[in-house]
Amino acid sequence: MKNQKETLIQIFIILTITLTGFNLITSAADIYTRSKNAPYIFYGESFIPLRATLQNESRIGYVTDQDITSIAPLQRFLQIQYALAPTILDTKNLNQHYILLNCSDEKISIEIIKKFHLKPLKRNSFGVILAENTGH
Amino acid sequence: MLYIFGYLLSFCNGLLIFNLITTKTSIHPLLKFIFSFGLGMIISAHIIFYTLVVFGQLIPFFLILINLSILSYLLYQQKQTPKTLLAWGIPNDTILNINLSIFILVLATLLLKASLFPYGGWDAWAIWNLKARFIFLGADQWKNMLDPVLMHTNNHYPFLLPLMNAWIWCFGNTASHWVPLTTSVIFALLLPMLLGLSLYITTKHKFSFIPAFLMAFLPLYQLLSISQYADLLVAFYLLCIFTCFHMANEQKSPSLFFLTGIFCGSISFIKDEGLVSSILIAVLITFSIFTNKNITNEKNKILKNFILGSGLALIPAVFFNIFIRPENLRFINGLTSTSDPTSWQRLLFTIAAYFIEILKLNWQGLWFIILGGILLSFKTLYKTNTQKLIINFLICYLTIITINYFINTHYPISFWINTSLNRILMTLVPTLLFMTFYSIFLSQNKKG
Repeated sequence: MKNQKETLIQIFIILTITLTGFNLITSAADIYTRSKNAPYIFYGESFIPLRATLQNESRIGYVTDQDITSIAPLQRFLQIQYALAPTILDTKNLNQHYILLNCSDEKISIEIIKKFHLKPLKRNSFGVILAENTGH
Repeated sequence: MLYIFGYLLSFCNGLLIFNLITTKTSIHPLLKFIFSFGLGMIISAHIIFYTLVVFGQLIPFFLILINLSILSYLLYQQKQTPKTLLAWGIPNDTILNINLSIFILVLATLLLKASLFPYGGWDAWAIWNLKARFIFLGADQWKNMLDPVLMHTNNHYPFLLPLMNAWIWCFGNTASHWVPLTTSVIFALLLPMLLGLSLYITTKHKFSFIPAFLMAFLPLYQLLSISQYADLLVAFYLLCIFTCFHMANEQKSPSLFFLTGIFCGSISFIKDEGLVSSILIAVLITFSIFTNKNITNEKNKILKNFILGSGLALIPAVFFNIFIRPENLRFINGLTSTSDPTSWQRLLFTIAAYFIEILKLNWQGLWFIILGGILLSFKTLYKTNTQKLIINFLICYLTIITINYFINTHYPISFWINTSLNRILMTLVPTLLFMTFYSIFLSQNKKG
């Protein structure tokens, strides 16, 4: 009975070693596949140049026509928040000196700029516009 | 490159403090090395926390000065004690040397994967590293990270990991995204090392490092580790607690119980799950000390040391929860809510989710090894105090997690399960592997 259990433990250890080898191979394959994929793009990176302008702003407005509770727009919003921290992106109170307009179509952003008499300052490669609220 | 000095300074302080408090104990130098790094990072992070509370902001120069002053004082103290700081050199142990060299491969895979994923996963840039940026760049406005507007970033979470990264940033004056990446790679490397070493030291079994490599080469472990999440820290410090407790029990060492207490208290400031674990383990260890018949003469001293260590390390979490923590806007009590009531189906779904999760292919059979190991070592599974502590902890912890899933109806249960269950289980994997293989090797050694 004791010998039987000892054999079982030995089989168990061999199985664990085999699985470890399998994990190593799949890990290498995983790295290879990921390196062949398109390079990782961090959306927030293109907002880093705005930091200099917003250096003294603890809070700016954030306007979007997208549903911020759904995954993709929320991901974009949070990545911009990361890039611009410690400045807070406020989606609720837009009565701020600077407003960041991130709409699905740039035309919508321009319409908002005209409607609220904002002064566009900068635009990045994704069509996101930083505007100044001159009436603030 | 300057950032390396941050890690080094924390390590040196950790090592010297470790040496100072554990004068009458014998610990393997490599294990001492790992514990020291973990301890040093906790101390540096806690110093930042107190600086934030007292001065209202992070002052890099001041923080480096405090850490250097501590180092100087500890070096002076070290000169007064005859104990060797760390036995340098290659250990005269073939099994250990072979296994340690395999860790170079672990490091290589972790670095390669991390470099493909430099900003980490969702929670890294949305929660942990975002908090670190507020702390480091926010000056006296750092508390803005707790603003209700930032509810998407889980602003109510504690922040030990962000403090660690903010500390390292002090050495370069910029909030480089390479620092959180490096921190996660270091902990991801040290965790399997700690697992393998503690098994090897306690059982002397030639295959002690196999479970460590089984976990370290698992793509899911690597992915979750390099995602720069705080769960890795919970996993690391949980294993620190159990291995330290094991040695403290074996050597009946009050100073090792003090260290166990420090690790136990510290996990309370990593995550909410850490706070739950911390309280649970503190209660279980206190009970274990009380009922331990092998400890007679020094029972009071051991208990005092453990409570003192836990208490000291718990201060940031207690202070945060009483004075700083904003309201958790992601909590709805499903038991009392009429709009989002909980249901028995929710509970059944949660229980079923555990079984579905462990059957998932991305675990690559790891849970079969753990369950198989538990079955094989069933008779020796609940023998030592450490085994009892781990099993009692796991049962209570998983029950609490399940109740939380059941009660908190802010999100549909499928959301909680999909976004957090694999991470929660992964934090328990190193401890489970330690317990399982310790029991197996123990039963083999007894026969031998």
